[in-house]
Amino acid sequence: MKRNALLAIVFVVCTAVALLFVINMLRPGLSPARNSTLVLVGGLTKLAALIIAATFAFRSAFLLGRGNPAQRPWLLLGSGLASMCVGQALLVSYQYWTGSTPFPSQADFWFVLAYPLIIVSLVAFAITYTRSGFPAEGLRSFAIIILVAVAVTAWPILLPVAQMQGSPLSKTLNLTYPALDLLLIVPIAVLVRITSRFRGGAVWPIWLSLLVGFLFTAAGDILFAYFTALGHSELDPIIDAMYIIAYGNLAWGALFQERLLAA
Amino acid sequence: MKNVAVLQTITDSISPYIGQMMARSSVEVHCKRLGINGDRTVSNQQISELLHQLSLGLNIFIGREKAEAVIRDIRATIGGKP
Repeated sequence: MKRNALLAIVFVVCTAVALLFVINMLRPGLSPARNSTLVLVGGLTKLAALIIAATFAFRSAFLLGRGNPAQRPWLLLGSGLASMCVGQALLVSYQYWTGSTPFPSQADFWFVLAYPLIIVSLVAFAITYTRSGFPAEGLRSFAIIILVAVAVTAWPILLPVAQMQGSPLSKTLNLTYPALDLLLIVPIAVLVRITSRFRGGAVWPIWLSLLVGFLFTAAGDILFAYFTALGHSELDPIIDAMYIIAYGNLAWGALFQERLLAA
Repeated sequence: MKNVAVLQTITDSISPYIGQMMARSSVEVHCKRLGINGDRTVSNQQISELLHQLSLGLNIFIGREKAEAVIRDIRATIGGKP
């Protein structure tokens, strides 16, 4: 399949399924799919997007070749996305066989494992890009400012989640995900600052898509922890829609990079 | 070609990949480091070094082969002479 067709399919499918979730929440009668069917369709859409993202991240690493400083960050990113694929595949299998989405589950091991890989990959990207010889002044102090800002905002964000009722494992995971997301925001902010200077170039859509993907993932995780803590499960479709948009963007970013290298 | 035209050719050639803003500022930064002034005479060696530095940067975004192809096109356009 040609890459442009795959890019279009990822966009159309992810947008359509995300919209279905929103419609299903706002006007349940208007949605053509039953709730359990929609959850399964959403799970499969996320899985497909993550498989595309991981595959094309690995392809990009392969095309960059040994010795290229950007190869290792792409390998790490591909590994993180592959870990998310395994977690999502487990979730989809639960959804298919039981019709429900258990939390916590074995899938969480793989989702949590993905974070250090992705955080290290984004830090490695930032270091590689600053050493590339392109102008990148003031980034260290910018990163420190963002780190301090994240540390300050972490307390009010995590406190309500820490005070929620629930099993120790679900409580730990509901704290772990937003905490890791907040940590993820630091390299994301640095990369936004670096790559915003590439506007108008072929490199720009790669990073715009990847960073939007990670921001939506972070927002989805934080909202999930909040809604779980507050007992608002009726808002879950919004979180599903956010993850679908997130993973669709990650697939797009990896596809854009691979297309640029392979063209 | 005048030096200013050479630098503009280089900027225009890498802009499709890294955008005009980054292309312009990276050419300026490398020129400053290499002591290249657009209004004065610039040696072939300086231009070669400038293209080498830009190639190293492009390499991490578009791969070595494509970066080398971009640099080859630039050399062909400026005729190897500043």
